[in-house]
Amino acid sequence: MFHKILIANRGEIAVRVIRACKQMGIKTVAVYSEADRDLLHVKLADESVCVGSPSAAKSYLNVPNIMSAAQITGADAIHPGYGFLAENQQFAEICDKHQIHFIGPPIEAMGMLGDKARARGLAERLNVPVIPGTDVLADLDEALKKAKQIGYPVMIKAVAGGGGKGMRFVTSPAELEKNLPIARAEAEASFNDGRVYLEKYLIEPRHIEVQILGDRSGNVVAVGERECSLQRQHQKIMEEAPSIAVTPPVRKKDTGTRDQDWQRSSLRWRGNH
Amino acid sequence: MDPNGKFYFIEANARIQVEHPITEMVSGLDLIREQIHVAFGDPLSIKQEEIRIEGHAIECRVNAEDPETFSPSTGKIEKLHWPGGPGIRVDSHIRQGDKVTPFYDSLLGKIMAWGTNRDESIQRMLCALDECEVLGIKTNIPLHRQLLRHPDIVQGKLHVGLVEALLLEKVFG
Repeated sequence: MFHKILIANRGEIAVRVIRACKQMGIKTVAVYSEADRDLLHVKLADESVCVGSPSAAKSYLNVPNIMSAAQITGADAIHPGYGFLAENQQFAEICDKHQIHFIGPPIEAMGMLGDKARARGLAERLNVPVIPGTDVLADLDEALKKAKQIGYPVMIKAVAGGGGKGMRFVTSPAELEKNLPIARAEAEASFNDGRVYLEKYLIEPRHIEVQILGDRSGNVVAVGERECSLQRQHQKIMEEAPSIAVTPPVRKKDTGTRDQDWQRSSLRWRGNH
Repeated sequence: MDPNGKFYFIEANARIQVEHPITEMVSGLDLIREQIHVAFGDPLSIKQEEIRIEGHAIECRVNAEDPETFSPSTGKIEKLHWPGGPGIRVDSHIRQGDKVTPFYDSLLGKIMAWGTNRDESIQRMLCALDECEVLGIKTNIPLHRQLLRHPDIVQGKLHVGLVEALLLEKVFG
């Protein structure tokens, strides 16, 4: 087992990881910013290293300082927690280069899943359903044809999109005809890129997650789902497990397909997600 | 997932999630321990057919923010008491006397309530929220209390726009 783990995080998750390490008999190293020197994770860890000034960019995201802290203390693994460096592929590569284990998925999986378009492409290849959508629309005729196939209501979205610009909700062909040029003009004005596409609009959807764990030999398990629909501005407020909307047959199918599909996908997990 | 129960893949988050404890409470697993083991090269401790989901768990994220305006609240924690009792777990780093600074996210901790069924976990969470005491800074605990008493949430009629719709209608406060 690892001899010593550095926790590249702060707050409750740093405390959570330190507690798990203690129970496993693994030594721990906390890192902290100048603003956090009196916090609990610093007190609970066996060793601690200050990695910079209060702003996250200069401390918890400061890769050279965090790598130095790991080397000085002789840590053989780094747990990134969530946020900060947890999904930073470059950081995982740097850990690898320095023979320090990054506790998370393998680098190729981070690259694949970090890019939403690639992740969606992978899901499609594995026959996991994705929200029906189109490629860039050539003209109104194509838009009308594709919208009919997908089924109304649909969302017109800008390829370069963000912040709701170039986005239009339409419920009928007449609305699509009226709103397509508006969305294009808005996207052109906002992003200097007028390309738009369509996506099916889901009415009052739920946000459901499936917890998956996998090991290096390719064993993958699904540990049920979580209902995370209570959100404000895309930030979760309250979650529950299991979801009352997921019936036993759906659960069997959903966790079952994911399990098999992810195994087939040749992604070898070093962590969970 | 749409109202007809149809699933669409959105993304896979390749990391431990904030809300992982509720899965731990209903499965009995320690997900961080599993992460560390598989990172070392050990096999998973459990097979799919051995996984049992028992009971129901809810997590409330306790944030240092104004429950009405949602603006971050900073300052010294003058008094702190986290709840306890059967089925209650608290994952937090804050202690009485700590200063909440504006540099990082506003999460003070997470209260989890497990029950043999959903109603019991809601009931236990309501008791835990009532017991919880954080003085010196504002928290969103009042919002959690109101959410857990709203009929749509009690009945589980949830969707991603629900909280914002309820806030817009000024259902609370």
